Amino acid sequence: MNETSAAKAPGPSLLRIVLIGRRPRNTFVRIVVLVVTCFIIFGFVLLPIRIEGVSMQPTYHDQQINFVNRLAYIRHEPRRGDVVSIMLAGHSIMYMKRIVGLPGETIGFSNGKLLVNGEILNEPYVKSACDWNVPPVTLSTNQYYVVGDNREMPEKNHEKGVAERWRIVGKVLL
Amino acid sequence: MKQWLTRLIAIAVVIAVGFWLWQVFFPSPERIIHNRMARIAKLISFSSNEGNIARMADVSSLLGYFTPDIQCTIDTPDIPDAGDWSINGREDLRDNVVGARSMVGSLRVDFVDVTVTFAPDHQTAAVELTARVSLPNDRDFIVHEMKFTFRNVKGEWLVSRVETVKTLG
Repeated sequence: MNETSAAKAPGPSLLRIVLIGRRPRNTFVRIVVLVVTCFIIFGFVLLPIRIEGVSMQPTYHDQQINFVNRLAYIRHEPRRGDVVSIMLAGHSIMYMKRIVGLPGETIGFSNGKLLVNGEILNEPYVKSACDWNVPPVTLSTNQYYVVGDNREMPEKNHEKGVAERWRIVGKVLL
Repeated sequence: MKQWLTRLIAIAVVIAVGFWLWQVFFPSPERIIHNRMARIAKLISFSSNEGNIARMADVSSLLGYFTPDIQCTIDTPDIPDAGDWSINGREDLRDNVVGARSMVGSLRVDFVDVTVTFAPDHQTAAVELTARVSLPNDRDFIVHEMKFTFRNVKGEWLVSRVETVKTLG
């Protein structure tokens, strides 16, 4: 008798199954876990960014989407060649630059060539020649020299220079 | 059980609304400064279709947010023909603001990542922020880290100093 009535009982509609699943409680738990996970990952670990400007061309283009890995420098310090994000007053707007000089080094530009301790640095990511001349600067501990890949633009219009370690938020992921 | 839960939710809602109303009618000094920064950004911004009277009214309102001895030290090497310049006093500020408005047709200024830090005596406050300046219909923009110093003048928080901060040395 019971088996007959159970067989006749109507199941959840297809629309309801599609929207909230066969077990709404489980679906709710999954949604909460997903939201919390996304909040933690994209709020504190992988910061989503939209690139604006041309200073990192041709490596990165205007309006590209990317992520900043804030855990990249937990086990080691930033390295030469890393593309990093540099905070201004906060994390809403940040600079995106490449590290070319490490603490203790002397960095400068001479006739468009980047000099590290007086020697020309090979920069395969730079696709255009330039004529920049920047007097050498010696970095202290906790200081890095950062510059964009686009050297076509005039030197005075290109934001570059010495970044304190605490300003480096993380490494650009992609 | 259900009635108990309903009462609990109602009490929570009343407390939340009460807290919100308290914040609206009796804002903290930090909230006042945040509101002032938002208002200053709005008054600095202007559009090309604004009339002269409206522009002058905005400039006049803007000056009211600064102390008479306001000092501005602006260093913008990335802006062509701007370089570094300084402003001393409200009249000087007025001349510069009016001059800047005549140079460009429209301007939009946004202050983001605004952080307020009060001095121990709570009579001055340092506001650190990132300013984003753009021309409408133009995708280029300028960002600069800035520091505003507020001073409590007879119960009113006014800007006494504005300076740019060099992010990359």
